[in-house]
Amino acid sequence: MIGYIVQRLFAILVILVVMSMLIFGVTQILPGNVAYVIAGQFATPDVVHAIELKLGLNDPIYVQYWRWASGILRGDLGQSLVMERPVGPIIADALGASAILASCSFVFVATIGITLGVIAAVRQNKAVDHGISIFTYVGISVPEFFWGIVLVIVFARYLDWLPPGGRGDASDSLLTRISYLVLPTATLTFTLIAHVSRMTRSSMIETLRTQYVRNARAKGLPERVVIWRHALRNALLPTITVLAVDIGWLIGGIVVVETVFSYPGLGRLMIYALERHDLPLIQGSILIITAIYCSANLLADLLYAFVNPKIRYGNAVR
Amino acid sequence: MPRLPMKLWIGGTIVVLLIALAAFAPLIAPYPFDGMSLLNRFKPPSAQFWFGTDEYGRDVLSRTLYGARLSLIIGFGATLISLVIGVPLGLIAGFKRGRIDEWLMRGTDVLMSFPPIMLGLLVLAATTPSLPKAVIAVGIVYVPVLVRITRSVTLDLVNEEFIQAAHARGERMSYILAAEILPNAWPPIVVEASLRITFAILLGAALSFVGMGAQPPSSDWGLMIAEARPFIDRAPWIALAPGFAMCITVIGINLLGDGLREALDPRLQLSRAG
Amino acid sequence: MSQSALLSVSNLTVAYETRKGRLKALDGVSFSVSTGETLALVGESGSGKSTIALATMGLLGPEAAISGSISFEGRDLAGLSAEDRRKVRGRDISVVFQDPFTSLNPSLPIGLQVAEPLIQHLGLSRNEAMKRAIAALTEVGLPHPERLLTAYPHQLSGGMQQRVLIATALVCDPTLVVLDEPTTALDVTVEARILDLLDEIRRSRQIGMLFITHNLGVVNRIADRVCVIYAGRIVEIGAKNDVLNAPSHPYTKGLLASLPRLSARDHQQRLAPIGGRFPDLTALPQGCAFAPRCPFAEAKCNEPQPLHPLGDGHAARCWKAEALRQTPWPVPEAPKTIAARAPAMQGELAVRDLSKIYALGGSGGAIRWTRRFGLPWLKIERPILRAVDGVSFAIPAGEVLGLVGESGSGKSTLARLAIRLIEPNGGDVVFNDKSVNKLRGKALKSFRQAVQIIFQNPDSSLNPRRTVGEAIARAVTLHTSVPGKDRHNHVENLMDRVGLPRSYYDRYPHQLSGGEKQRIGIARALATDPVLVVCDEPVSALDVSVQATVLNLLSDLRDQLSLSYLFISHDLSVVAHIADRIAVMYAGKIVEVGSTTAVLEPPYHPYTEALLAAIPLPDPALANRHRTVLKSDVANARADTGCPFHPRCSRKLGTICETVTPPVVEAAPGHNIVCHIPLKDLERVPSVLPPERVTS
Repeated sequence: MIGYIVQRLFAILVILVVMSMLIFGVTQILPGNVAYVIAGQFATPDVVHAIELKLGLNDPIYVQYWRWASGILRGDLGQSLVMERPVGPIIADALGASAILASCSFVFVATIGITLGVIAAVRQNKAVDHGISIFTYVGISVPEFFWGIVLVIVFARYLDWLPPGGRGDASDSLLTRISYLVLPTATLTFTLIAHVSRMTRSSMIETLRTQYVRNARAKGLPERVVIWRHALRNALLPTITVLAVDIGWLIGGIVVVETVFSYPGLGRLMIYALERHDLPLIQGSILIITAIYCSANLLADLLYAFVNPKIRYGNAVR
Repeated sequence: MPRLPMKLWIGGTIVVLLIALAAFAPLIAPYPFDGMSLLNRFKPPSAQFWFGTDEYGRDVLSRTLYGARLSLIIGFGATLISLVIGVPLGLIAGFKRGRIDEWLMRGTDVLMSFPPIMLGLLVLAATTPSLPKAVIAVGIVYVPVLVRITRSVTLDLVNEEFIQAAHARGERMSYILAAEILPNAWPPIVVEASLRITFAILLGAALSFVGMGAQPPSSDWGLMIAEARPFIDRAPWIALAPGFAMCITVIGINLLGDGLREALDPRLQLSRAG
Repeated sequence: MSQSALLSVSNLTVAYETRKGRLKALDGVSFSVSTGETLALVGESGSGKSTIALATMGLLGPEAAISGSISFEGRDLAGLSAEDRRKVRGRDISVVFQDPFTSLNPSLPIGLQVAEPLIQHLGLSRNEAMKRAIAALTEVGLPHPERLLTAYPHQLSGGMQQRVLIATALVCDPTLVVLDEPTTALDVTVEARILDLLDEIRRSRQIGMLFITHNLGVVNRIADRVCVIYAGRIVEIGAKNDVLNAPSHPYTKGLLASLPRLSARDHQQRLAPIGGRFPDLTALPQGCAFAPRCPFAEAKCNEPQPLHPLGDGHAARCWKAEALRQTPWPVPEAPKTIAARAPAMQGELAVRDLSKIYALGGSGGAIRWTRRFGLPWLKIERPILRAVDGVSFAIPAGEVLGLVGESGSGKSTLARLAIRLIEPNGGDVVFNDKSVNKLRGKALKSFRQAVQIIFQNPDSSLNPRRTVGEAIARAVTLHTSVPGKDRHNHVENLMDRVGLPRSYYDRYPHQLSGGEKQRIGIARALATDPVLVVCDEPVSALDVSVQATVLNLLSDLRDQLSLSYLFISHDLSVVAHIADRIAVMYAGKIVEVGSTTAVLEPPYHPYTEALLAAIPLPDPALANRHRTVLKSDVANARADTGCPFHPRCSRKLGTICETVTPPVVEAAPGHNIVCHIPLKDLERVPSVLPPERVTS
């Protein structure tokens, strides 16, 4: 087990290094010279040249990469060109906002998704199963931004129950601040739940057909014990993998949903940076998001290993 | 003739209809998709403009019809790109194994460590956004997935005894891949590809929505919804039409994919043969 | 034996609605099991025997239409509510299924899985239940039961898992245990241990057993009475000795006749297979379902057949049963030689000191820092497996070398090494004095033409998207000079040779039965006109009656085409039937090699002796013959030093076996035994085969 963890950590480390190179490399060919962006449209070539010198933009690319990468290791992500503030704190603020939204959605996706999947599998081909199936079909087919807009029309504009967007501020009551989260969370949950519940359903159906479930029934265990103790534990293994993949989707969804609801998170920050070619901010936010995604995958792998005794206890010692 | 699943029929019908609408959009659409008319701004749905008009007085129905073309191009184009790159790589990785496999897998590991939309944004960020680039970006995003699936199907197949028999006969690698493996590997790949089409459509639309895909005055559905957002109070129909069109498209292709899966499921096939 | 009927099944019929029509899995089955009695249900695949097990347990799905009655201790189970039925399961009637590898829940600890029925049915506390679980695990002969409580199934071998399942079945003191092929997935030496255990439990607990199997040898070992099933109907029922000594239904006669006899003298005798195909269960005839395959069939067989009593509870569903009492199953004549060919090319294959090492997967193993590309690099050291470990043998032209070994012995790896499907880590394969591993281009192609292979699994050995004709024709195109226009005809001739109708040319593999697919595999191998064919478990996946047909075919082809075979099997009786010489393989090494007669008679390598002794034979006189019992439930438990077999050997001498590699002892010219035990001691070991056969 420890060997496995070390192995995975090492792999993630390698991936992160390769990825930081990729991110740096790709952002270097961004159109629009950064110096021009800073100096403004009407700057003289001298000014531009001075800025280039100051930022070391004429150095060879690996020198620039090393400067950037070693900065990151010291916790310095550079200076935002547009906001003229250090990138680190900007990202930290946005990350906090996104994290709340993401974790709320994730909890709902996991719990509701798994429950729906189990119910659908146990009542396979009954009305409940078909109902859940249609529900998830719609969920998987509606783009987040459209579903978000529909929610805004209904609950914010028409019914006026919830705020249409934003995040509120520190002076608002807790209830008000939660109310800002409801619509974005609902949007994300609805679009992501389909994956989890469909995966749980199919892996549960497969598990219910296994020999060991038949054996559990042959022991005279009540259906409740057969399903929750014998089947679900094994059926959840593939679901864990799907949940990890879903974190990637969640991040994608967050970029869109934050735009729809004008929610000041990391996704919106990144789009903002991309639109304005704010290089350090782009690099920083993509790197952070990717690092989070990697760690989430690592966590899922570890959870998988922990739940699966074949990995947890290694191989046979007979 | 085996009985085809219901889903395949419904999904197939929707997809065929969509392709027909997209192909004949110039004939069906009552107005050009970029024909502005300041007199007809924000007209609600009526007999003249079935789906209403937008802030430039453009006919939403016509734009939605033309948008079907873009969505299908993104969906099928991107999937085609990932198939063309992914399937051969997956076949080789699964067949050769060893070092080539190791490097390809580490490569897909890195690519898959980016959340899909990040990879798309990264590719688009490097250049000015445009539709063909969005197609390529989305295509590249799904290459690793197809490599993996093709590889795992191939890995299962290379241990089958009929492949061993081909080796024992002294067949070439190209023959084994083309004549023995591919004919047995395609069903899961086709099922996966059909589902990838919807992911590609959704991802393409999301990129357009955040301004990193198709550019105005294009009638891409994602872009149409983004443009309609400021007027959502006054003219919700501008956003609803492309939104519903998108839902129907995605549901149709999903049904088709699921139906294919059911039709091609080896377990179901076995029971049919037995 | 008490005669109160514990379980009595009467007129049980189970049917399914399928697209092709109503499928009758069982048709009016009646039998009973008394306390302390073992009733064996015997049948081939598709006979419906497992359906009986599931019906008895009440585990058939809602799609099964069940009629008839299942009465247990005087209660009709069929009439019980689902909830009451559940309370009987695992408490009064329990079951052990076929495949131990998939019957235990992989993610629950063993202790809980054994104790569960106690908590559920008897309401014991967890602690008490665990104590009883330990007792049950001890009873089934598992070492260190306390440690097993927290172990997970994947840490146990198949034999140990089957013991756990037996313990689970016994833990609530049931009065009836249903055993559905409980030893079929196990190796023969492990099977012998499990059968001993079951026999002992039956004696000590006086429980009734319903024992389902396809193996008549196992029936002989364990049963009191036998019930033979064919196509969902009971064709013969009676006391074990009566049925096995005097089989009365033609089907039972055929089943017994198609078994290869394990005997040093009359091996290579032609087998007597059952011809024809298993009937379509959706269109069963009113009369005898076996009539189309029966050599004694007459017009009257098409009338409905009642069970015909033969006295002492012995009955057969055949109106001719009485008349056929003394008539044996006919042995078919060898087919007239179809154009025997002169061997175009001599081929002698030899392997020298061949080894193959595999790195084991999994996450275990030590971690070590090394350098790669000049950078520090984490290296995970995986444990290795010496699948084939320094094996040498030679197959002269025209000889059949049988290679026998249980699972994990490395015999299939050896087969693939011998024809260079995989590259060895050491040693060499030599064909006609040329090193095969150095062959390239044309020379390699001519080796591929001369040496072919037949595989085990009929479902996986044919490309499902190729017709029969295409599959065979491809090899013809590749390796022969037959011109394109004659190719179709040539393929049809090959099909004639393996006994397939020419009309099969355009069929796809899924339209054929297992035996027919295996014939195509043989025809495909013959299509290149080889001199040596490696047969890798060619009959293991087939039912006995079909197995006999394929074995006869292989013998005939060998004679007609003067082929040599490397014939690999886990079943020593099959190998002994066809081989001229036998090599016995254990844990990657050959421990004994010699002529078939020499290997079947003393002196034996202790492993060969155990293997021979473990095979259940269908002769009632030998039901309780002497058996050497091996240690451990792992078929190929290995040792890194000394003799690989010492962990299981019942004749181990002492530390010498653990530390010193045993010498090769020549017992007779061409008969080698790799063992520390002095030859004169090995010679004194009595024969484990029935003496009357050896002398006859």
